[in-house]
Amino acid sequence: MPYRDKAKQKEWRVKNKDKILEWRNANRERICELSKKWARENPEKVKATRATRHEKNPEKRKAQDAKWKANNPDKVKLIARTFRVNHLEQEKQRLKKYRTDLSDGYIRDKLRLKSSDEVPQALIEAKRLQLLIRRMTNENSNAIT
Amino acid sequence: MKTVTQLRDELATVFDDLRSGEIKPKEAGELANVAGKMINSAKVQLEYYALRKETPDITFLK
Repeated sequence: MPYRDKAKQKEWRVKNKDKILEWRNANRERICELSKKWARENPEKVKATRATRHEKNPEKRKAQDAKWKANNPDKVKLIARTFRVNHLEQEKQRLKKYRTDLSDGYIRDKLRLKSSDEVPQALIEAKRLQLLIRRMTNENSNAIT
Repeated sequence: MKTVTQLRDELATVFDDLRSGEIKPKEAGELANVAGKMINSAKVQLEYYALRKETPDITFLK
């Protein structure tokens, strides 16, 4: 670096912006190699930088995540499946809650409708009430016998 | 009972009546069964429109 003083260094960088760009373009591979080496040697710093970058731009991160998910549906499925296998107990609890609460997703499953299908909320609510009545009548008949 | 909203309201009434004991479980069960048939027919219609890649135009669901 030509200067030790940070302010002067910045000034120099602004002045020689084109030169720097030219040098970067000429040494693209070397820069890439060096930055990869640095990242390998400093994983903690990389993690911290990434976290602060994500904190600063939550919207950008969300958009990036959504784009990645749309481009990698197979990977998304695999990650979800691995998570479910690794958190079996949690998953059991979630499914139990899903059933007892008669959530919209559970009712969609019961109706064998895809999540992408546009279903009127009134139909889901009607099905929920129907299931509630059926459960209640079943409970009653079990209590009698 | 011509729309799903009316069906939902009717089912809500049946559920309340069942809880308060105003109707018998068997009777409520039968009503729920009929409601299930109506819901399933609406579902089939929805699937039909989805397969044809058309926007659903179902009077029952309006």
